[in-house]
Amino acid sequence: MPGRTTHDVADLEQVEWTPVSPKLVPAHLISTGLTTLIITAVLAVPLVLMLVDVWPAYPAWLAWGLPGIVLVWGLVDLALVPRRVRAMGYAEREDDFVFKSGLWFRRVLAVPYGRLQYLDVKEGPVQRRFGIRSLELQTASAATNATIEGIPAEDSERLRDQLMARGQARLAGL
Amino acid sequence: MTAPQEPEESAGVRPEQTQPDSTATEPAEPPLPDPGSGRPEAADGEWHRVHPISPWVRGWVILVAMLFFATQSFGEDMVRALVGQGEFQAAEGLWVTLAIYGGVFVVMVIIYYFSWRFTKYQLAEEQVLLDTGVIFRQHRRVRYDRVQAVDIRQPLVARIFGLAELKFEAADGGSTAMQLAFIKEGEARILRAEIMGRAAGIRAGAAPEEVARRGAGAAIAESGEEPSEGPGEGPRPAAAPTSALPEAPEHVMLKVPAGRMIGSVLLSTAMIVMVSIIVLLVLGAWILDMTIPQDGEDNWWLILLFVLLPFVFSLVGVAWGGFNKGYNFTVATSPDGLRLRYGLLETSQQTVPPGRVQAVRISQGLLWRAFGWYKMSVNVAGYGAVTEGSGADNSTVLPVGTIEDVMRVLSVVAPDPGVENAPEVIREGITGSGDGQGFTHSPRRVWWLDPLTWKRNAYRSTDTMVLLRSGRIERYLVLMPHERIQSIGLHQGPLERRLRVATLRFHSTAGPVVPLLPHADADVAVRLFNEEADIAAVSRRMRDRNQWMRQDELDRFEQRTQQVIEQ
Repeated sequence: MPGRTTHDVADLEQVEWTPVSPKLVPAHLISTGLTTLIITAVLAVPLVLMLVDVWPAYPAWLAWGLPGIVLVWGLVDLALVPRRVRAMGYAEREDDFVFKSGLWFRRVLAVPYGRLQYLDVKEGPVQRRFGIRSLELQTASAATNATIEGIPAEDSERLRDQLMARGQARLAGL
Repeated sequence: MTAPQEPEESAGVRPEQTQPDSTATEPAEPPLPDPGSGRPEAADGEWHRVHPISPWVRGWVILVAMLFFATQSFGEDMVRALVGQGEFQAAEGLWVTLAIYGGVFVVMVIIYYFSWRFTKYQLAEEQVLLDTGVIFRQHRRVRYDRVQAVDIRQPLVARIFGLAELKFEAADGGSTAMQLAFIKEGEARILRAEIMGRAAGIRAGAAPEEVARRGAGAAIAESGEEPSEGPGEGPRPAAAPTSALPEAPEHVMLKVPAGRMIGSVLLSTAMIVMVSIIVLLVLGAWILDMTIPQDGEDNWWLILLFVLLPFVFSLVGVAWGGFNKGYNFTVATSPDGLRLRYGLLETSQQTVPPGRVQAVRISQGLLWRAFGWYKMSVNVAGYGAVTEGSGADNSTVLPVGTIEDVMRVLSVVAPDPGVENAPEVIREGITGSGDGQGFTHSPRRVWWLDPLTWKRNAYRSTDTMVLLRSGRIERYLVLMPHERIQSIGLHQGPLERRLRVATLRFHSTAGPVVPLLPHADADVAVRLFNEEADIAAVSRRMRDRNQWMRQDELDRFEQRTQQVIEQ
C-alpha cells in the first residue's frame, strides 16, 4: 500500500498480498446501503408521526437527530467501502495463511496450515450476484475469527482445497 | 497400588446392573492378546449400564421439593392432630393432594426407570460409546486419542451413595464430550485408568514393557515421601481397584492448607471490591444520618440495611463458593499427567494429561503479595471458557500457592520453559518490571496510555514458549508453548499507528488464559509476529500426535518431576 506510513504493521515485508476481488466493493455498498436505509427508515418513524401531528410531543431534535446521525454514519461508511476493500488482502506463505484487513484499525492474522480444523466457503445472495465468496478459517481457537470476504468464486474452490491439503500435510490437530 | 491384582476382586465391587442384558452384544472386540491379565469387567468392551439410582441422584431436588410442599399442605394439620390439639380431618382435599403427589412420584419412577434403562456405555477397542435418550435417542462415540482430560466428580448426594460421575473432554470448544453419571466410585477409577491408558497409547495387556514403565513410575512415586494426608482425605490411590491397566501411581506434589485457602478467598480481589462497597455504603449512611437526620423508624440505617443485604449475601456466597471448591486442594503427578483433587461437599478429581495444556497463567492479586501467594490457571481444550472469580473452577490448577508451589506445578503443566535459568525468568516474569531477564517491554512513548503498566507489559520468547507479562496492581504472567499457538493476530489502531506500536494476540483454545501483548513497539511486534508464525508452524510439524505417552517425552517429564521433588 503506497502512501502509508512506514509504521503500519500491515506493510509486512516479503509478503506478496493478493488483493480481494474488487467486486466486493459493490457487494459491500449494497449490503451497507441497505442496512443504513432500513435503520434510518425505522428511526424516521417517530419523525413522520411528529410531522403529521400524531405524536406532536416527540422532541424535534431527537426526531431529526437520530435518523440523521445514522444516515451520516452510513454515508461515511459507504464512502470508505472502496478503501476498506482495497485494504484487504491475503497471502499463502510457506507455512501459514496470512490475511489483513481494516482501514483504521489494522489487523493482520496468521493461521498456520497445521492448525486448520475446518474451512467454510460461504456465499450470500448479494455475493452470488457478483460471483464472489467468503472463506472462513477455523482453528481450535474461537478467537481466530478469520473470514476472508471477496474471494472470486472460481478461486474459492481451489483455495479451499489447497489450504486443506496443506493442513493435512502439516498434520492438523490441536 | 502397583501390582495388578486379580480381576475377580473387581467383580466384588462391580454393581449388579453391569450384568450383560438382553441388548448387550456379545464381546464386540477380539479377545485380548494376554489372557493372563484379565480386564475389569467395567472395561471389558461390552455394554454396561450406569447405576439405577443415577436419575434420582440427579433429580433429588424434585423429591425434596415435593416433600416440602406435601408437608406444607397437610403437615400442619397432621402435627396438630398428633399432639392432641384439634382433630385431624382426613378431608377429601388431603386424599386429592396425596393422589397428586403419588401420581407425580409414579411418573417420576417410570421416567427415571426408562432413562436409566436406555443409558448404556461401552469401552470399545478405539472409542467409548454412550447411548442415551428414550424418545430422542443419542449415540455418541468418542475416540480415546481425542480425550483431552478426564474428571471424576462427586456431588454431595452421589457421594453419600458412593457414586461418581466420570466426565471426559474432547477439543470441541466447551461442552463435555461424554458424561457417565453415575457409576460406582471404584468403577469410575477403573474406567479412568482404562481410558487414560488407551488415550496414552497403551493397549491393555498388549505391551508389557509399557506396563512395566508405569510400574517404574510407581517406584518413583514410592521413593518420594508423600506428604501426610489429612483425615478428610478422599479415596487414596492405594484403594484403587484392580485393572489390567494399573491406575497410574501418583505422587502428591502439594496440598493447599485450609488456612491459606480461607485467607486467599478473604483477600481475593472480588472480596476486596465487595467489602469496599459495603464500607462506602455504611459511611454514606453515617454521613447522611449526621447531616440529614430523619425521625422515627424510617431512618437511613434501615434503608442501608436493604441496600446492603444483597452485597452481604453475594459476599458470603463468593467466600463459601471459593472455600467449598478449593477445600483440600491436592495437586499430584502421575504418568497420566496432572491430578487435581478438591472439594468440601462436592469433590472432584481431574486428570490432565501432559501436553494437553494449551496455555498457563500465573496471577497475583494485590493483597496476596504480602503473603507471596499466586494462582495458576490453564487453558485445556474441552474445559472451555469459565467465569472469572468463581473460586476454583476446573481450569484452576493451583487456587493459591507459594512460588515454590508455582514452580512445582509449572514443571508439569509447562515442563520445558526453554531457558537455562527458568526459576529466575519466571520470577522476573511475575514480579519484575523493566528489561530484566530478557523481557522486552512497551516503549517509553506509550507511558501516557499505560501509565502503570508500560514497563510491565513485556514478552520473552524462549526456545519452547512465549512468556507474556502484564498487570501492575494485579500481576499476570502467561506462558504459551509455541506449538500451542492456534493463530496470531497483529492489531493496530490509528493511535497505535501514530505511536508506532501494535498489539499482538496469540489465539489459544477457549479458557481463562488470553495471551495478549499490548502496545509493543511496531517493529518488535512485526518481528515477533513473523517469528512466532514460523515457530508455531514448524514446532508443530516436529511434534504432533494425539497420543502423548511417548518414550522420550515421558522420560523428560519424569525427570523434571523428579528434579522438582528433590528440590
